[in-house]
Amino acid sequence: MQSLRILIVDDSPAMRAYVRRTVQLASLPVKNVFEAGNGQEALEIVNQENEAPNKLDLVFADLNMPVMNGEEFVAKLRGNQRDATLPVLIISTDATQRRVLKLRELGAQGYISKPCQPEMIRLKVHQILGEQ
Amino acid sequence: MTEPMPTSDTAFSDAPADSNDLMLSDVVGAARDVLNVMFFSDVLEDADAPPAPRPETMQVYVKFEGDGVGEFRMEIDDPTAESLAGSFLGAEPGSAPSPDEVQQVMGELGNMVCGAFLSRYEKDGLFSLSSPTIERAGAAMPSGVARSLQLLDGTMDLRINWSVPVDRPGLPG
Repeated sequence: MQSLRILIVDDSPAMRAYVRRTVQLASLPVKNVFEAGNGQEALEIVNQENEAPNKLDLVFADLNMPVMNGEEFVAKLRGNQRDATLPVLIISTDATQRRVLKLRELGAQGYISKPCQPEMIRLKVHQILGEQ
Repeated sequence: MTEPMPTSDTAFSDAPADSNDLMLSDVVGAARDVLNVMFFSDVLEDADAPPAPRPETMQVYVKFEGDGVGEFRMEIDDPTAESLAGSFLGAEPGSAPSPDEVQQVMGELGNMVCGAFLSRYEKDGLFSLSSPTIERAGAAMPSGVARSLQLLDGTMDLRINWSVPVDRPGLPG
């Protein structure tokens, strides 16, 4: 797997730190980590970084956030032709079946319910990026 | 004349006892999962919770709405909160997280336990959760169910009150 440029979107700095650490524990080859506190900030980072030669590879996003929540973020991302294929992995406490189906319809590539272990994140990332 | 204080096993006026038992079982199970996987802690035992918050506790509130409406509250003392926050953040032995970090992590813990509880209790439901708020010296909940958990790190009390319960046709009542 190539070195990854990832974006972590969560309104909780503690949770962003946890995801960052968990990604490291999962032994994923991460090159750059960007962080955003809500969907709006995340769209700005996606817009900025996808202008660069090395685009983002994957977004980890929470659902329940102020300003712009995770569902709105995924919907807006999918509405932009240039960013429509950027993979989004949702990490959230809300694991009800209807929520997961709704996210799939919106275009999220994967879903992990909290609590989550590093191995689950590693498996999902490999699954989403198409490498085992 | 003042109203009697609610007891820990106070049932909702409109929720059957079986529903309350299921709710308590699900909230304890949700807390156990979250604590095991993300905080390297465990629930040693659970018991009736005191009717009012213990003094000197941090109280984390999460409101939820959707297929039902209600409020979740987690009450935890400072040493327990600090210990759990240190585990979550991977703090080195001997280094303590800052008060801000402890509050952030306890907010996240409350959010995770509430979300995990709702996902267990109402698998087909759809809810939205408020951002967690943290207070001290909160009042007793007017009604609801509560459970006190003895953790490896200390004590945590959990309370749930539905103002509009989920319609659960599978249960008596």
